[in-house]
Amino acid sequence: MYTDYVNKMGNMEHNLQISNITVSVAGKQIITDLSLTVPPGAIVGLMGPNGSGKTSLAYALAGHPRYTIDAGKCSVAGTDITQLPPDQRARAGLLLTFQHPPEVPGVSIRTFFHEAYRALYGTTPWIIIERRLRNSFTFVGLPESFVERKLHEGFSGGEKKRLEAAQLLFFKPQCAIVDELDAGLDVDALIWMRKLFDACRVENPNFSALVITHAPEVMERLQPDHLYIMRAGKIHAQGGPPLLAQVKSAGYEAVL
Amino acid sequence: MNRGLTRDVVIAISETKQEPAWMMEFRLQGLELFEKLPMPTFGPDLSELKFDDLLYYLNPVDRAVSSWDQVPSEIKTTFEQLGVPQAERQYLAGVGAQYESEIVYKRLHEQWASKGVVFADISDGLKDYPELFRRYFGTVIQSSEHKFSALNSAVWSGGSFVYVPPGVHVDMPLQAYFRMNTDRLGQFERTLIIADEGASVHYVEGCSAPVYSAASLHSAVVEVVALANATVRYTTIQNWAPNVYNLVTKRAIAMRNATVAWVDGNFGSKVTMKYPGIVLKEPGAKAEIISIARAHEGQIQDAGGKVIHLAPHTSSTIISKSISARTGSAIYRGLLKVAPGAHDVVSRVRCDALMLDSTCHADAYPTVDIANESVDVGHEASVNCLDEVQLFYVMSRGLSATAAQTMIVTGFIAPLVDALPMEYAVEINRLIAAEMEGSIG
Repeated sequence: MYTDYVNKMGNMEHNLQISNITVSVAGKQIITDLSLTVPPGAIVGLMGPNGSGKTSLAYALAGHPRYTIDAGKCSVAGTDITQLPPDQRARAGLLLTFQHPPEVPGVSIRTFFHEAYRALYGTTPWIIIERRLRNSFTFVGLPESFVERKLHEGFSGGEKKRLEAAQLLFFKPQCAIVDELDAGLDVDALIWMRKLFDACRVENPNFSALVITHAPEVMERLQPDHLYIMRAGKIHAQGGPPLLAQVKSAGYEAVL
Repeated sequence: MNRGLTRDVVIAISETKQEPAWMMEFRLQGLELFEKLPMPTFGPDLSELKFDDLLYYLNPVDRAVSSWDQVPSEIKTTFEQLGVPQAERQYLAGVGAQYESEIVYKRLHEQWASKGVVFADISDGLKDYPELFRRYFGTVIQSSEHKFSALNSAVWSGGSFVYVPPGVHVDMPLQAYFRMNTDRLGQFERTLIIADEGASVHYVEGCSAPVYSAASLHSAVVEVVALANATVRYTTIQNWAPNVYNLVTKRAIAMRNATVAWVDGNFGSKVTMKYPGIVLKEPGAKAEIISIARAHEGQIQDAGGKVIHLAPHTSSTIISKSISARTGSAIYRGLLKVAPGAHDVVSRVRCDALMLDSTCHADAYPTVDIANESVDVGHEASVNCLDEVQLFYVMSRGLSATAAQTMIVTGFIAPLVDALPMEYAVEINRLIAAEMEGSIG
């Protein structure tokens, strides 16, 4: 049914279209000939055992300086991002929530959110940005006073995840890559994760997400439209809910 | 007046200023010491500095004036470009501005004058307050300390004399704009600040200079005396032209329960050597030194701070942050000394260096000399390259490489910049941003 969906959208530009990419880090090839599609409005899951290359793929897509795309092509909402710097990928509509976001000492969250928003959307009244900021904080359960804090500085694991989650709502990306957002969050947070995606879709009906996790329960709760399974830098399986059920009951070995 | 330094030049300076005999004697002693003392044996190479090529005195107007109307129009234009009159209207208590070697414009806000606060040209201080002046002048920094303190003692000209009477709080900063304007003109200003018992004052010194073809020397001496329970804060934003040797000696003495803070921002010059010092002479005295340096394009910023704990129950903090890029060198050089009798001393020293590319250089030389066991001393130092993951993260939210670097660097120095008066915080952030614009191709 997902394939039908993808085919139906065939004439439209996909939010994320990865075609036969090869990625290396420090001269070592870590992803080989990988293709993947995230249509507008879809939640697509990406699972796989530790070390299978999920985070490497996410970094390569967002433009991490250590990861190079040596072959193939990636596009976001019709823009070829394969060789663009990270900021231009963001402007094309991509947003990666980091599994381990770095602390940026001395930079206030308010300054960071306001400046980045203007970089993406041009001049916008302060109060409009501020309102978005407060709304997204409320949604993910961060106190408003956090806007005065420094970017991820001294944050707990859970606070870092919430600040990453808030950015999904705040920045209105076309396509989010959500890397292990569930790790370190409690059960309640898993419930609002799905709600968060719904809220993002209210902001932007075409919002889509590539969600990386290795917890089948989390994926099940998100009800993805489609699922990819990675192993050793390649896509090894893909499918709908039955594939997820199989992973949940019998583990990766059963499907790979 | 001719270039080069001779006994006649020193005598002529003293005579022009109609100084008392003791000051001429002081200057001549300084000259003798200058001739005898060696060049510094540490730090940056000063071999290109040619003392014989420098002008040691220049007098653009006959005397300092106190009314804006009396200021020559050329000088007025310069001040207007610097924004001095506007700044004054907003919040300045008074402006003493150095243009070439003399103060040409100064005005003391009436409310401070009525409280007995003196904010004058240093030569007027000598003339009008001879006893007070002589009691403290040259007591904090000896002419004999090194070649450049001796040089300043011989040829000093311009600078400020500040006296704050007991219990008086000057709650708006006293500001002086310095501007060096003639090729090969050495500037040797001398500033003496005395905060009497329980007084408080914030003195702000900001510099900007146009570009010259030949190297200039700026070699100031600043002495600060904080008597019991007084508070003195001295802020410098140094942005000399890139051919200026900026070799400055600054020291304060803090008496019982007094607090002295140096906030020192070094952005310009070819070579800067400056280590503001605080001598904690009596119990309860506190020292704070904040040093921000930016080195680029062959600049050497050799800066830091010195604290000497002579008395028990004294405390100090030194925080230094440097940013270097494009062949610049930023060196932290510091001294923390605790005398044998100084027990129950608390001190924290922290210096962080951030390097923006692989062509620059950063280093730290912290000297710690502690002769008492009952002390609580903490020292931390870090030298880091710009973090590529931080840069990637900020860029991945849509900020260009330049904007992201500016944001990270601004954040790096934010803890120090936030402590500055708004106007200077804005200026520093602007200097940093301007630097970033040019640093990425």
